[in-house]
Amino acid sequence: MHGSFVGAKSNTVLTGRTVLTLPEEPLELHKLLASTLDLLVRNSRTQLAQIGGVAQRVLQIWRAAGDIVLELTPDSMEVGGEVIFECQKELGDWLLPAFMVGIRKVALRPSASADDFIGVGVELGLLQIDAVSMSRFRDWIWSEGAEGLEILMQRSFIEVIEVMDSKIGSPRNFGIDQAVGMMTPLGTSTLAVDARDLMVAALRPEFQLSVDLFAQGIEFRGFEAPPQELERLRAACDDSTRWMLLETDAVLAHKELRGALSPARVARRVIDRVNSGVTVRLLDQLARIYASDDVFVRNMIRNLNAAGIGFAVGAGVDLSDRIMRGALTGLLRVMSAPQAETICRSLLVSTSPHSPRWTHLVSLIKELGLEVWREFVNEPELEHGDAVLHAELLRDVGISSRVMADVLARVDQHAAATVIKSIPESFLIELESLIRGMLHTAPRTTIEHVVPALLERNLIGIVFMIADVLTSKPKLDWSRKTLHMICAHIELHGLTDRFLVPLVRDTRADLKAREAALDVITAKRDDDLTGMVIKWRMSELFDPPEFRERLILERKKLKVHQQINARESARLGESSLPEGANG
Amino acid sequence: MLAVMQGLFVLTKTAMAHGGEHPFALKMAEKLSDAVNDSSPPWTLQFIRGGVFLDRDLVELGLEGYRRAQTIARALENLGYHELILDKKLDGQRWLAFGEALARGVLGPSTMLEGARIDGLTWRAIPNASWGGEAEEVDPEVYAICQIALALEEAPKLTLSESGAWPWGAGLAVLRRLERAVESDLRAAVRALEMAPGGWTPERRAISVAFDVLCVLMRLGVSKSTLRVASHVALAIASFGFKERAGKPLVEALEPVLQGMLLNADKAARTGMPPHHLKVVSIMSVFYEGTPLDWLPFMHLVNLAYDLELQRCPDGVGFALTKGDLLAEAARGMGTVYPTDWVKAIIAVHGAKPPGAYVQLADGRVGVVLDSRDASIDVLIGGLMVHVDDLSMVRLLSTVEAQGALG
Repeated sequence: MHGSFVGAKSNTVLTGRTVLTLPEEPLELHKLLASTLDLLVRNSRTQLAQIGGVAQRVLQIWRAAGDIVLELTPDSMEVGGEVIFECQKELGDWLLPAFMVGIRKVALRPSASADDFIGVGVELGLLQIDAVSMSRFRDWIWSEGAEGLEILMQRSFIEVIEVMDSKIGSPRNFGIDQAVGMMTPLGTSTLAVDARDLMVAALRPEFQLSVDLFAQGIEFRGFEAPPQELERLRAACDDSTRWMLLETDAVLAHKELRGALSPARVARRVIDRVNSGVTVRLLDQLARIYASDDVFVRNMIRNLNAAGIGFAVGAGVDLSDRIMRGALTGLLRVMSAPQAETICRSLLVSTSPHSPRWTHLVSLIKELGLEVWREFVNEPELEHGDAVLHAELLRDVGISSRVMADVLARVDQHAAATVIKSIPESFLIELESLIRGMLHTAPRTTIEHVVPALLERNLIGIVFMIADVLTSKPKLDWSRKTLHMICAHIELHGLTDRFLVPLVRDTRADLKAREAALDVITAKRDDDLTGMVIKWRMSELFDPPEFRERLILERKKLKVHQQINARESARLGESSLPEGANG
Repeated sequence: MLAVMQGLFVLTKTAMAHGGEHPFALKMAEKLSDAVNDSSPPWTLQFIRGGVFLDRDLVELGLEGYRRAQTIARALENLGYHELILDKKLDGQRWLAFGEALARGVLGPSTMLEGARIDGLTWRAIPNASWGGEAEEVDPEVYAICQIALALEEAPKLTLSESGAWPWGAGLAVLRRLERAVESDLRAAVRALEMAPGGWTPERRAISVAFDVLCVLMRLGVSKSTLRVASHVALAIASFGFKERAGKPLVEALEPVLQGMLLNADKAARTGMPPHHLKVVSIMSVFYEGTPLDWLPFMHLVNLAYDLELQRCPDGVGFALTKGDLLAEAARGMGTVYPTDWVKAIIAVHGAKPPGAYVQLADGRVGVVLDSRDASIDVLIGGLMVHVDDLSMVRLLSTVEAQGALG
């Protein structure tokens, strides 16, 4: 089937590879509709295999034209009394047969599809002015052949001829002969009761029952039905979902029907129903379909998948209904992982944390099985937001920290980082190798995203782990701010000697990291520590020039500071001696 | 026949332009005569509602032919007629005389042909045959009765073909007639079916089942699609279920029909199986393979209508029951054997004293209901039609009761 969409401008249509710009003026648009419809009918006779595109165009143009009604005459088409198409030689040669068969008006139904127009095109293209052809066309219309179109047919000339030829006479007197026959007593007419029959009837109990019960029921209005009861009955007779289920079941049960219907058409009916609302019966039937294994059904499934049945089911299912959850579980279990993926993704995105639907989704996952759910969701392909939701959901399901580690290892790293930010402490132990790996491999944005949150937890184990990575990676693409934050926490947790001092001295370490470490150390104003760290070493010769200069500067500052301290100490020492100690 | 139409048209135009005395007009008349003589008269030509018929067969016209026919039809209609009856070959002069009349008719209403005579050519009016857009409708009562009569005539065609296929076209034709009859005049249609001449053959009973289903669902306001499917299912099953007396249970009756419908399903239409056919087969399939729990509600109606009609011609006796008997039976079994909703619905269609039922008046006389309305009935008593306004004074009788009383 040709795909099409209405372009960014509302008056363009793309059908296959053809871009069609629709006229804005209504009359011109209607004329285009009529001429395209004519093309469809004529092409159906000679280029049947290629009319799909034209059919799609007719549909799109008609939709753009809105709620119009096409009126047919023997040689023209009109809209609102304005002629939009006139016959000319072979153009419109189908109009006269269409008019003579009784078509007067045609309107578009909302459910119309390009397939419907293909059918209409073919049938109109084949319509001839002879009794057999016209009868066949009327049968087709009567049998809802033109599904997507509302066709108003006038009473035909055939019916007038029939009445003309009838020998009814006066309707007032109709039936008198029959009544007379019925009244003739004791078998003197073929309609009356034979005497022998009366004797037989006298012996059979079913003939002895009186009709009085019926008469009394009428008298006391026992056969009247309240309007709401009638309405319920009417609605139940026209239940579209049940109809669709029956039809699909019939197609699945009877192979003879499969030659008469395309898998795409059957799939379309199913999709239409699903889009109108998901029911338990619908889910059960989908389960039967997906559990089947024959060519026709596989084609149907392909069409269902292409039409987005997964998303429709996921979005439309009522998870608060336990029976429906059971039916959905049944469906998911017979689907392949890729087939189930769209349903599960749709379930995920159609809920939000701590909403009632969220709670029911948790129940569904428990009923379905965690591993099955995880397989269907396809964790590595989850986008960031969905992955975060997924992890949160599984937490509410009650997974262990080990399982969580596995989940986060499979999803997008940034999503994992988001989850880790707020994950309970109890999960962190199992996440150590994951976090380490993340610190080693994650891009800067992820690091910036997760490290501050980890540090805020104020756990020495976390700080140790981060510091370990900091000091082991020769090249870090982390921001100075982050590095300072890390170094500050290292210092805060008394790990300066363990990590910061060696870091400053390590000529292979990342320069920004060394600078951050040095900043933190010098900020402490611990002259002994500072002196130890900035003491000259041979290896300093291999440091980058800017770092060497920094060290030199720090040494100068230290010296000055020490001198100031010495003078201060001396001053203080003099003032504290007893009187006469200096003399 | 196209040459005849062309000749009539040209003659008419010529007579309009030049008058009947002009030699050119006579020449055109002679040309018409030749064309008519080649068409092997005698024949009749009818102009009905946009169609041209030769001896009741539709004449195939192209657009030009249609336009010419339209001119002639309008002219003829203005003269008050719709049919030409040609008994023999005519010469140019006679055709010229007719052509002049047509020329007058083109200009507007005229009585020129009234009382006129052309040897070998006559004309007559056909009611409701107008070619105009706002054509008069056929009298609804007559139309309804006519459609029921035609449906009964066509019912014997509802048999499986040699290959065992269900005749979809024949089924649709019968159902269309029933639907039109009910839409035209429900009361007349009910009366037509119950009071049509002849006995209650299996075919007539099959029509009755489909008819009841159709009437009930139409009254309920069910969609056209659903009611057509339901009545088609009813018709198909009943066509195979009834014998001269009694018949088979519903499920047993439908098996060959279901197989017949599945046969050649892919050849049902050039554009794939129409939705109606698929729906009919689906319902048949559920009847055959499912349980009543799987049924759509109207399937219970089909089952009820079938069961009741099955009892119309009981085994072991030679008489047929009336609708009154069958409705009484339905009332007896309501809520136990038969579903309450649908029993009420069938009774609502036919009323308390349906056509064909036996009734007894207050004075003891027994008659047959000819026509039934909400507040009155017409009863045939002793060869006379009696109109009764006070229904409380009329008592419904069973067939056996009535025959006993008549005896």
